[in-house]
Amino acid sequence: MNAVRPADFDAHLERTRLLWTLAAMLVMILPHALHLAPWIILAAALVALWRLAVAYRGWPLFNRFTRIGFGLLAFLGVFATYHTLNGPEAGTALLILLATLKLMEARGLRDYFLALVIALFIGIANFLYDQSIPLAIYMIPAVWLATTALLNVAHPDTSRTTLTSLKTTARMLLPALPIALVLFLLFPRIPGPLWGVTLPQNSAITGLSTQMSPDSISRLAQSDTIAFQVKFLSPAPSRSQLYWRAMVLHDYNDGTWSIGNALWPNNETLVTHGASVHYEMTLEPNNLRVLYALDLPVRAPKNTYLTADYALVTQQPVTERRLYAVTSYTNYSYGADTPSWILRRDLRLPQGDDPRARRLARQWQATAGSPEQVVQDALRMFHVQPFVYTLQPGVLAGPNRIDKFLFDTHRGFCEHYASAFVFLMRAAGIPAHVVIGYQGGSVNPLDGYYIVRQDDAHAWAEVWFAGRGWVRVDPTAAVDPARVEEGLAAALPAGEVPGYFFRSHPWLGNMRNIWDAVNNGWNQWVLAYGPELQKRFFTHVGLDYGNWLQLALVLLVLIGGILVLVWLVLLWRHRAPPPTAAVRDYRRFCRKLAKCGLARQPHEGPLDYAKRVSCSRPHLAEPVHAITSLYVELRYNGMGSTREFNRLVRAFRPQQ
Amino acid sequence: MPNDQPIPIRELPIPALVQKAGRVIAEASQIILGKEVQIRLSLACLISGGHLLIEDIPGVGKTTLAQTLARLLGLSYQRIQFTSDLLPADIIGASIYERQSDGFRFHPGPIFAQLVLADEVNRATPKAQSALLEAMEERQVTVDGVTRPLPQPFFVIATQNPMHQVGTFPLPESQLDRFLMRIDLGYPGEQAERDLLRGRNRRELLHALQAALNAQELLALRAAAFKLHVSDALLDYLQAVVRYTREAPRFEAGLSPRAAIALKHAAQAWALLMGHTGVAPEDLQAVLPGVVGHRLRLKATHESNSSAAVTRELLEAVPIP
Repeated sequence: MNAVRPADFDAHLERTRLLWTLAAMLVMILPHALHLAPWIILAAALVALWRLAVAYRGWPLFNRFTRIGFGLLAFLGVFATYHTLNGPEAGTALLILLATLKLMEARGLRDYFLALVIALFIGIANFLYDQSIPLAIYMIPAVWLATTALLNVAHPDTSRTTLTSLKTTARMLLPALPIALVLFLLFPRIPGPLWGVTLPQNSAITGLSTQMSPDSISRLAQSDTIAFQVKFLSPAPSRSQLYWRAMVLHDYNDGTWSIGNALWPNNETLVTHGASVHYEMTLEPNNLRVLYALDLPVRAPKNTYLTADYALVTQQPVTERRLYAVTSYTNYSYGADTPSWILRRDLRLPQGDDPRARRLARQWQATAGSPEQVVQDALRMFHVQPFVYTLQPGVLAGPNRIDKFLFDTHRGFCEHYASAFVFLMRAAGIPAHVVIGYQGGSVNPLDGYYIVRQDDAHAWAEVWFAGRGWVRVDPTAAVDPARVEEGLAAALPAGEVPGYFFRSHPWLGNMRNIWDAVNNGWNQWVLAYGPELQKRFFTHVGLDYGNWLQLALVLLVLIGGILVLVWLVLLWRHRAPPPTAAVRDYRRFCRKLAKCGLARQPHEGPLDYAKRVSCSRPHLAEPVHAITSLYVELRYNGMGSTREFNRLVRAFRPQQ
Repeated sequence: MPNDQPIPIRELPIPALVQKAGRVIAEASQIILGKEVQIRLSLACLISGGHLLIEDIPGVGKTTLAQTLARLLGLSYQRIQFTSDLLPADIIGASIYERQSDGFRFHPGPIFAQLVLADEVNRATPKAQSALLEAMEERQVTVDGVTRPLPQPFFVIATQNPMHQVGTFPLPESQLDRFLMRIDLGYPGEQAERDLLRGRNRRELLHALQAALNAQELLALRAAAFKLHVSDALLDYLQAVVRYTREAPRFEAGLSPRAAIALKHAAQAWALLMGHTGVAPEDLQAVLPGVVGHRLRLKATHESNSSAAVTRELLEAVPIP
């Protein structure tokens, strides 16, 4: 006999609980290692190892004061690292440290239970930092494991293998999936970011800024992260028409263009030609108060307004992925009646700098007959003279930068051409400004979405002609038409194309298309499911958005329905096998006798019943005996003829 | 022993044996008047190879029943009177030094018999009780490191007084479980008692009894009983009964799988004695009180019903599927 002694059993139980709790904590904490300070993960791991040594090597536990000391140290360490105890990062760090410290005093069901619940919460906190598909996929087995840990902590069973407990929890979790889906679709969505928490990740976004300095756009050309995705609802314009407008920069100072401070509402006159373009944008967070739109949007989406520059401005910076629908005209001119006092700010130039450029501009102004001719002169200069479109323009520093670029180096990226062109126009007395945004984009053949990446960032110009208004002019197109027609990679000199992996291998590009399409679907259908999409979904299924009573009822009915369905499945699985023919006929026989006032008791055996019937109705004794003995033969001896039994029961007439 | 040459079991004519068993019951009923059901249950218990516990107050014929069965079945018979000073060696025997052979020789105890009557088993100390119960379970005894098998067949009929009597050591549940059946005899009926008072001396009648079966025939009956058809329908019923005892809140613990197997075997033996070709629900119902009465205990909160009432309620609560 090697019975387990109670003390041993308790220790074994405690170790099982500890191991499961640690496993659940490990899988929940692991993704946090990507964004939390390394010492926090390290400290948690050390505490966990120490706890294991206590359980397996018999190391002593710390006393209460030491534990309190460690707790205080955790607070201090987190404060020293994040300079706050508030906010998502410090909060998660603190939670992780305290949860592992909790294991130091964990004893019995309650403490491990608490640690596990905290571990689940730490798991949810992962989604504060990352809402991508890989994390979501990672969390499925993680939650499964944590639930199994809950099972094994709450109901430890030495006879149950890990595999069976995993199967058990899978069976428990599966019926929860449809309920989760119903809650996901129907539970009221609150507008705005989750819990109003501003997440630290947004501070490190690559993208446009409200200024354009000589290297701000060429820097973006190194990044192939997605800026936004577009789904055209009407026929897509040609590639050379795909100018995605972000901001208009009016002020030039010290080589840098900036937005200025005037953002008055739009009351410009707009002249459009041709058909309008309808499309839906999925904008990645850009941390700006600007939504991008195809040149030129005519109506602002909800909660945004159009400025006089036809930029879409929001009230809050875009810190979350945002979906909006816009209508644009690609063939347009606007602002023909802009008063001269407003136009004056698009003529302003800093004093003194770049004398050669100014001289050239004045020369054009004197010789050309019209402002249009001046524009043509400038574009011809870019086209005819040996200007190079390049990511390596060389250092253009100090004063007279535009002069150096125009007359000496002749090398520049789109911001240099736009900048120099607008400078020349202003010097020639033609109102002009820089527009920044994106140009082009690539179609993902898998889902038809246009993907515009950071390396599609672009800068161009708009000039004002009396009577016509503002007209788009892209000097880069004059230097290198391929930039607009085919994209950056085709326009840059060989050897300068950013060496992305994907460009070198076609099949890798294909893989990227698939990944982008999957990601886009995830963004469109899962992450973007906020109040707007929910409203659309409600209208689609015929629900009244905003009628919370109706919604509560629908939720109740659906979840109740799912529970009933699960119950029915369980019932069906444990259902009794259908009665055999003999049993059906015997029940019929019993019903016939019951009509004569001789009902069979449920616990009465057939032989006893026959005896009782024969006693009270001697004239029935013979047929009852025959039927009963055949029934016993059929049911309990596995012999006899069902047909004969059926015939006997049919012929049985107790009432006559 | 009347027949030393073992007869192959298969060649024995089973219907004739069943008839002989019927004669055993009939003749025993001449000695123990008005207790045919208990006699039949006892015989079913022995046929299915289990040990029998008879529990009742003194003087209702417990010992007489055991002796009657021993005689009628033609088994070698030993009686052990359990007392508070009984030692294990008094039951299983001991090695005693012999001068002639200059060595120890094993003197087998009274346990080495085919049918052992352990009279008033709850009067002995737990130590003596467990010697008996171990022998019952293992069907062999080990003395001085030598294992000696007990004769075949080996039955124990134990009698005991109800537990509340003075100077008794009640058998614990784990040991009660070793008995396939526990029956009680109860007072005889009015007419039976009158016959008893008018009739001849029981002891004389007992000595006049001739064996109606022998050991081989008993083993053949057992083999036949175990071959009796048990349908799925009956197993459904058996499991429903067992499940009820496990799920109903009134029982401290439900029936064990061992109890379920015991139920099946006892029902088979009963069906054989009844001349059935398969086991009917009535067969199960007949043996149920004897088989489960001593294995089920009600929770303390329930008023203590007699085990007969408990099993009757159990029977009535479970419908036959």
